[in-house]
Amino acid sequence: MSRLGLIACALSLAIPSSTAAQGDGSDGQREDGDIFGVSVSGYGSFRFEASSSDARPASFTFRRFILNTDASVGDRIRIYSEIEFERFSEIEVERKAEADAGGLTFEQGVEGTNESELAVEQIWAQYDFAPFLGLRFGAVLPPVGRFNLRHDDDLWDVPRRPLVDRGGPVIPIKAAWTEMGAGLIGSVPIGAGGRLEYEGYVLNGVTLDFALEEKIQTREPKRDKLEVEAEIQPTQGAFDGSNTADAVTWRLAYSPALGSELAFSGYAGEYTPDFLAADETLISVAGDGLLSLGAFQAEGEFVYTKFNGLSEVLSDFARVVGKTESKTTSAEAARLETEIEFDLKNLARERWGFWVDLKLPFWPTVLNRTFLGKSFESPRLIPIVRLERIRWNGALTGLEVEGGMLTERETEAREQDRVTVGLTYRPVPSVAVQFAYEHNERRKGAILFDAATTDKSTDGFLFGMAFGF
Amino acid sequence: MRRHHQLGLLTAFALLAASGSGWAGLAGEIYLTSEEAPRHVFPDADSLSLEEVVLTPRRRERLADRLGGEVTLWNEVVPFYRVWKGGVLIGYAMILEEIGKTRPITFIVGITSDLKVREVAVMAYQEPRGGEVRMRRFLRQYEGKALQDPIRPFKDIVNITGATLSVRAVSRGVREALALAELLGSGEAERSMEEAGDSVHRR
Repeated sequence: MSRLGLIACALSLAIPSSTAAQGDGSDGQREDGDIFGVSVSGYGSFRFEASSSDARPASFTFRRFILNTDASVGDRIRIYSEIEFERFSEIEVERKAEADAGGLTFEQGVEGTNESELAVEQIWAQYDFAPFLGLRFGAVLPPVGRFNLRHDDDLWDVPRRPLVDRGGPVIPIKAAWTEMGAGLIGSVPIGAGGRLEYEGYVLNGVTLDFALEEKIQTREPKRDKLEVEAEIQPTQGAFDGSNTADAVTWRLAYSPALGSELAFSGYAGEYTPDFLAADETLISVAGDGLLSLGAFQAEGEFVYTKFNGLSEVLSDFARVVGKTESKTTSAEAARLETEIEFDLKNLARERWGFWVDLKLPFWPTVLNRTFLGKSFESPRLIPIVRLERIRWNGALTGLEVEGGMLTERETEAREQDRVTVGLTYRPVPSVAVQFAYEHNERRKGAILFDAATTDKSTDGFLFGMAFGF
Repeated sequence: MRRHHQLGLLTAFALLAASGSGWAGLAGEIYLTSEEAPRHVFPDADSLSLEEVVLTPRRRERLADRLGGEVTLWNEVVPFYRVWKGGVLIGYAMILEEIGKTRPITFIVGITSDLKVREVAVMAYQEPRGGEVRMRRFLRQYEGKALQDPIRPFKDIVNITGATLSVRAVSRGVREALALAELLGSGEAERSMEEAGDSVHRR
């Protein structure tokens, strides 16, 4: 099929038609008129940031662009996907194999822009047994707290994700955190106006996994250097069936009335990989809520996460790895110095943190005749204050291993506050033009969480735009 | 041992699912056929008469004038019921479709003869999120509303975070239903339109 044909086909899937809606009971449509089609939607966001910190240059950031597909392939059967392009501009792979007179050369190169990420955030199929219960299977969002579940940028009025869910994070993996698994999801009404929502899954779960980082340096007059570092840190579980499904997660939310909700959620699972003998668990518990009083809204989340047996895990790691660093040292060696290093990152004995959003949407009718209000049905201005605190106890900052023994371990307590004051303009509900002032304050530890700077405090101005379609 | 706990959890959920039919009544989610829907909003009706009202450009224009904005109804034909009790007209009911975020929401609006909303019920909802607009506790907000009311989220309708587009769609539909009832119920304006060729099929 030609490219044009493919585009036309995609558009015809994306745009529901009135004739389809009226249905004739033929294939792909239910007799009462429901569409059995695929809808395509998405969201995205951009940000400009100017900060007092040298670690953050005044710069534009392409936060992310997400494409969702949602297909109803039968009565009570749905397939949903979410594909993310984050900080993504380009990834290009070049490979070549060449035979020369002196032998064979394999060549591989990866080109791309910094931090470009292409990821599956969700792909699941759901079969509803009854209006109150369905089976969901696939790559799902662990429902710890409320942000990971509702991470779409166009739903939020501050152009940066909370420290608890991203900058720290406190949840085991930064949002959007995805895991392969299966579980049950549903809701029932409680009384005249209440509602109880529940979901629970068995997952592959978070595990310590590695990423290899390569660095090359020219260092005249010294020898050039090739450094290979294996960074071992908690990551989402494998999607290829290679790690045991030994984690569970759940959420129970009670909504006494429209616009209000109180929820408790949790996660528990083994986080040690197969190459370590230690079997240790990670637990995370969260409470979150939403309160509406007239137009005023308060929304927040508290999360506590604990890595059990971290000392044992580090000792076991020392035994397996033997040493954390190895390098060429002889002066007469080649012009290239090589070094390999093992590093454990993003590990702390325990983490906790919270965020609270307070906002009061309004619209002065005097703006209806201005460019801000003209032709929009219900535009809004939303003043917002976000208060955040995050703390890591026993955060690992250094590790020395020699001869299979842990010779030195450095930890520290790290704590940070953030206050954000902003104003968001929404001409339509799914588009947000966001202005915010942000103040970060380091209370404990050597660096700020998401800026990797030793500044005691930073101030910044954020200008963002988020959209959904 | 942990694996046994996980199996237990899944089994408990599965048993809950197996006992589903007993719980279904508690769910209260309103999924109605077009035959059931008018009786749902007017359970006390003696009889109903159905007209299939074609939303011609002229009718859309009239509605837009009355509403002071664009008509966004997905329907090309609106099933419009006049509802009778003891020989007296007690109201109107109509089945409408509006686009939520990506998919149509099908719902019925029951309106009393003095042009106030009696009840709204969602017949089909297909959006991946925002299903709360199907629930009675949300739809109850529209009861008693008249065309003079704003009927808009953040004004007299409580918004549902994350489902703002669905809330807006249902609110728009309710306003359009009130305007349509006024237009078709008054008869006078409508007769002149019929004479001008705008079609209504009566059953």
